[in-house]
Amino acid sequence: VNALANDNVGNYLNQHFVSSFQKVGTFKIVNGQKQGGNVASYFCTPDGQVLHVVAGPVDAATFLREARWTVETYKLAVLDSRGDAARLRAFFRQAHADRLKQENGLDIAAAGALQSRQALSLQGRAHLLLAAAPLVHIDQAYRLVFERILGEQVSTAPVAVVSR
Amino acid sequence: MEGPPTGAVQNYGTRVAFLSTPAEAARQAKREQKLMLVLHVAGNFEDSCFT
Repeated sequence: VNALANDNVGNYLNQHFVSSFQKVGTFKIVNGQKQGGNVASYFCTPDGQVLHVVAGPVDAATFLREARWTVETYKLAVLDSRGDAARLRAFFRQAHADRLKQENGLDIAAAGALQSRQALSLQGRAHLLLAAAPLVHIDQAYRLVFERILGEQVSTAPVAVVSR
Repeated sequence: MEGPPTGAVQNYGTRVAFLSTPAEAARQAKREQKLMLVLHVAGNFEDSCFT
């Protein structure tokens, strides 16, 4: 499902975000069939601080929900932090921790919580990362997201077309 | 002083307007007081966009 082809998703993204893309990995086409490949969608401040990331392909409703969550949480964080960068960071740390607890049942404040991370969904792992490192810069997070969360390799290789 | 965007906006078969580089998107987001969406993809987004 291409969530970005959805009218509601497009309208919302164009209203609230300036968008771009970057190739960080590759995939193979074997006998016309795509093998491998993935996507990570980063919602960032203009300075490249990651507010949220959607790990992997999702449907339009999910993408729109996550984009809205990012925008509304950021607005509330700005209001709450009153220009204090540390408070803004703490707000997002708590926001991701709350979603991790609500949606994955993992309370990162509890003893032994980090041992449970292997059982998390892709999105749960993304929340865990951003609870541990809120507002991390995208260049410090992308390799971990692409390789450790999505299980892909960062690569500059072109797409390989293989016929067998 | 920040200049105007240098690249054209394209949709690549989606409903989303994309600038060609994250740096350009960052400049425009700052100017328009918007947030920034950056897709990290495997492969050629221009030919095979998928999410």
